[in-house]
Amino acid sequence: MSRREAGMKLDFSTLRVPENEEEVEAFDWKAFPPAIANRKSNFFLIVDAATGLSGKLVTWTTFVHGQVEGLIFAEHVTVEESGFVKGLIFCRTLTVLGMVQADVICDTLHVRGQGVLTGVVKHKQVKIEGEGLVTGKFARRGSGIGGRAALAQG
Amino acid sequence: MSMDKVTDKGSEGALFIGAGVELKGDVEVPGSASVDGKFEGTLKAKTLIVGQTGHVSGQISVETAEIRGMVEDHLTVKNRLVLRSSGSIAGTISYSKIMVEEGGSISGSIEMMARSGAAPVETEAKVLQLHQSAE
Repeated sequence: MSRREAGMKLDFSTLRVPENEEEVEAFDWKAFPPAIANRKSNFFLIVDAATGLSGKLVTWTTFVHGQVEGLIFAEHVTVEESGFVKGLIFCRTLTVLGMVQADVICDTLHVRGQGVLTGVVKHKQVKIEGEGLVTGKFARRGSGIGGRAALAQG
Repeated sequence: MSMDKVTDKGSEGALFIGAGVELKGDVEVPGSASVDGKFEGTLKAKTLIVGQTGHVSGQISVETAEIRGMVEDHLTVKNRLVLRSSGSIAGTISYSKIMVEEGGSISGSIEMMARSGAAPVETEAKVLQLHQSAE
């Protein structure tokens, strides 16, 4: 499948963030449209330091050097040193070197360097190193709480 | 070992709760509290070391902590908190510096304490107002 074909056949219209724990756990990242597009390629998105986005960002892998306000829905997210994200992040892996003020549902969270994370975090695995700072509410996934609705409840 | 050395070590009294030992109550330790057994209650110490078999619950206030076992309820670490891969913390956690190894389990409410003598940590980003600038 060529990149053009992959791009044309992907349907993002029905894609939505899981609302509850069952949906989170049942979510199939292999069926995630951007992941399908990346089976033979390695697409990624860089939000550069001069860029600000507001709204919903759906991609496979993203490196945020600038600012994103809203939803990031991606398999792999890295918020770089100059990056700032506010809102909601739903991903498999989140690496924070910059600043995140967001609620997060992820498999793996890695706070590095001088990364700062504030929010409600549902995770499977967490690693904090360097001068990383975290504040908020943390819960391991599979512990009976999860999903977007659970985040709203705090 | 000379008596002087014994006295030097004893000047910062330490507590060791071995595996299989359970202790309940209020304890203040000038030096290091090492827990391989079970402690429940109020604990103040300079250093808390919880071994893989250790279980600590209650109101815990220490300068530094290294956790390989389980800590529950309220944990306040004025300086550095280290959670090793086998460790688990659940409850209300306050810290100044934190390090969590992969595999370490952390859940509950987490807040950062102001670092004494240090410049305030910038947790508010200098953010462009995207909505305003876009309109």
